[in-house]
Amino acid sequence: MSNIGGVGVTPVEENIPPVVLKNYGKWDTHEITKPGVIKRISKTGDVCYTVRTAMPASRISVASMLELCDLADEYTGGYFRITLRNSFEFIDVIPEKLDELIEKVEAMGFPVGGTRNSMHNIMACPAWIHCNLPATDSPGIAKALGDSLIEEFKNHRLPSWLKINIGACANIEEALMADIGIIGVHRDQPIILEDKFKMCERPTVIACCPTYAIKPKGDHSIQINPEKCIHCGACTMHCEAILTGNPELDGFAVAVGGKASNTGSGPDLGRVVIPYIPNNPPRWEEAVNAVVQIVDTWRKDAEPDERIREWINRIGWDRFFKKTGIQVSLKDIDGYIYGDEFARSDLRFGW
Amino acid sequence: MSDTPYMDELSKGPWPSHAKELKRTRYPVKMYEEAMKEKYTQWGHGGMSSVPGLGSGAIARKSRRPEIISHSHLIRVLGNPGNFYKTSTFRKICEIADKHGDGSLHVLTTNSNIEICGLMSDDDMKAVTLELNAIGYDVGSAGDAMRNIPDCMGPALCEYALIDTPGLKHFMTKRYIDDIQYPRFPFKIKTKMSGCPNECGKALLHGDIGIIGVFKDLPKVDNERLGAWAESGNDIKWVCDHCPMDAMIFDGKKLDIDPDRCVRCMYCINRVPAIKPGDDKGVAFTAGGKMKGKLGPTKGKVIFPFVKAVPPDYKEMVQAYDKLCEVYDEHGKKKERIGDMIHRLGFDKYLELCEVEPSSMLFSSPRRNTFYHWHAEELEGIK
Repeated sequence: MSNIGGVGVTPVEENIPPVVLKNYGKWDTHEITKPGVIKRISKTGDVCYTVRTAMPASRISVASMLELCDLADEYTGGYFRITLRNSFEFIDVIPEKLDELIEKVEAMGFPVGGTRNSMHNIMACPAWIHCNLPATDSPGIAKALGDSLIEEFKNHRLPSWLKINIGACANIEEALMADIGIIGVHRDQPIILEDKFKMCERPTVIACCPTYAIKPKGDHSIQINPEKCIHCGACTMHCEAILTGNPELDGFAVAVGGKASNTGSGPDLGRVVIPYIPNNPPRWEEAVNAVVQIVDTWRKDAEPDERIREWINRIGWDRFFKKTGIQVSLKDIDGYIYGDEFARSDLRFGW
Repeated sequence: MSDTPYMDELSKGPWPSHAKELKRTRYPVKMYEEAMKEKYTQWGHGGMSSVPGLGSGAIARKSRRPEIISHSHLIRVLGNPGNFYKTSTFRKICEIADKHGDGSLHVLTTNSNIEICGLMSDDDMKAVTLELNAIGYDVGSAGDAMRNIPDCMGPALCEYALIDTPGLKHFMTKRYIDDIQYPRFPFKIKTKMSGCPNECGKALLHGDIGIIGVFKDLPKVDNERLGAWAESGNDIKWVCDHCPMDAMIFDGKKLDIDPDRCVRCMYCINRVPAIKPGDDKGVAFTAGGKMKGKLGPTKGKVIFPFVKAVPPDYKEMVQAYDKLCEVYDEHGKKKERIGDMIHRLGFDKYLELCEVEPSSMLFSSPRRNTFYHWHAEELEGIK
């Protein structure tokens, strides 16, 4: 038993092409020669071309991965990289063969783009493919959004970066860190399977509830106060006997303005602007319309190089809602633990 | 008529389709099809599972539709430093996934793991782990353990990197591999790494512990190069006007950076190749960023604003990191993330436990009440 695990990871030197190893830490600048193609220039004069493609949300087949490996073998020295937004990046592509590679990889169904002022690859969790908690289907929404915003991915024609993340439950999968995030929303209270509950740790389940809605019931069960439940799903994560979700009531919310970079106004989490949209597989028209509406307004109104959060900071939330036409409801107002901080304590209205 | 109308619809269009990918594997497509038909997931809770002989590494899923498939587990493979892969080794991972799983991969998860999906038995999981170990890969990063440490590409390809993130990831994974493979904490610890304040790794917002490269002195300006850059059609005035702190002063020949205004945010460095980060480099540690937990999404808080990162043993960094883990291990309640713990204890108390030197780098503004606790020792001799 003792010789399982404990291996760690391989050092980076083993997985990078010779030109990258030679210029490790010596890179000087980079140019984007066309959408999806980055030319990295070193102080030593060496250059390294990388080509970035979109990837399907959450699952990819071994067969497709092997085909991408074949291309990497043919057009690079056999190296690639997966970016932190899950794009596939060919590293050190032979410059004369760039166009040929782009043609081939696009023919395989992987569009090239996602650099600089374009929509970057869409991140999504597995949701209905392989998860027990989701309120919506992230990969499905990602696919529908990708299809309608594909031209933004392949061209640099947005004011700035556009990052879209999709998380199917309150675990969020980084959705609040993206310019536009979609978050699954449950609206029904959890169901307790009384006969199975003795498998769970009751103190953990009771303590995990943020609104103290859970109370013990009998010797081996709990009850949930429907007035207090905020459908966060915390209890379902810690106990097999609590199920969440209701096909008729589940849906998703749309958040805008998340940003991790320290430039501009600094890092901040996104804010929920559309509290609920019902599920509508397989094409999710409502989700696509909502996102396209926000992106179009931003594109028309923003100054060059202005991300969604910087744009909102400049015009204010009043005008954001006015310009996008999104209806404000009581659900947009935060009443949770830190919520008071978001109330308006000035009279600088944006009429 | 096809028996998967929803997935057929999702296979159309120019964006890469997960439905098409799933159809190329042995994944039970009916599970996904039924989910879309019923607008409800067909997968159930998995309970705890682990690779035999290890504490973590696997995630179990039971099915709510036993007539289609009874269960399907997955294994998390720790991703490479910088997420660089060689096709020759990746082919071997693909081979293992195809042999034991259903032929589908999740590349990558938010913690930079590769998931091998569709494993059916403990024996499969053990075989996968042993075969991965043989080619230098490892599993882990599930349960109440430390997660895999995602990092940006760092100096391997990026000119902005202030620390060697891939090297640091390799060092940390080697050092903390037991914590990654054997759960011992109150809940998960997600450590994330970014090479510079551009934060591609989202360490501050998403990391229970974030490690971010920072620099202390002013950005360096190469005025000669700047002149050449401006002459080739670039607008330095525009960059000066958009500096978030108005710290850039350009007199037509020379660029000055106001030391009283600059916050080292990287804005100018990202846009002008003639401006480079300063030389006094180190890392900042943040704690408490998360998306879920009891309090919902919270941003990370700076705990150690500047720690030297000196390879090969990263002594000061390891001390700081161990301190954060130790305080969490000692004071965290069961299933409580670091961010929630900080809120419960109070941020000042937490800093005291971490033995942090108080400084103005630790807050965006000082407190607005006087409700602080005086320890008995502080009042000794007066009372």
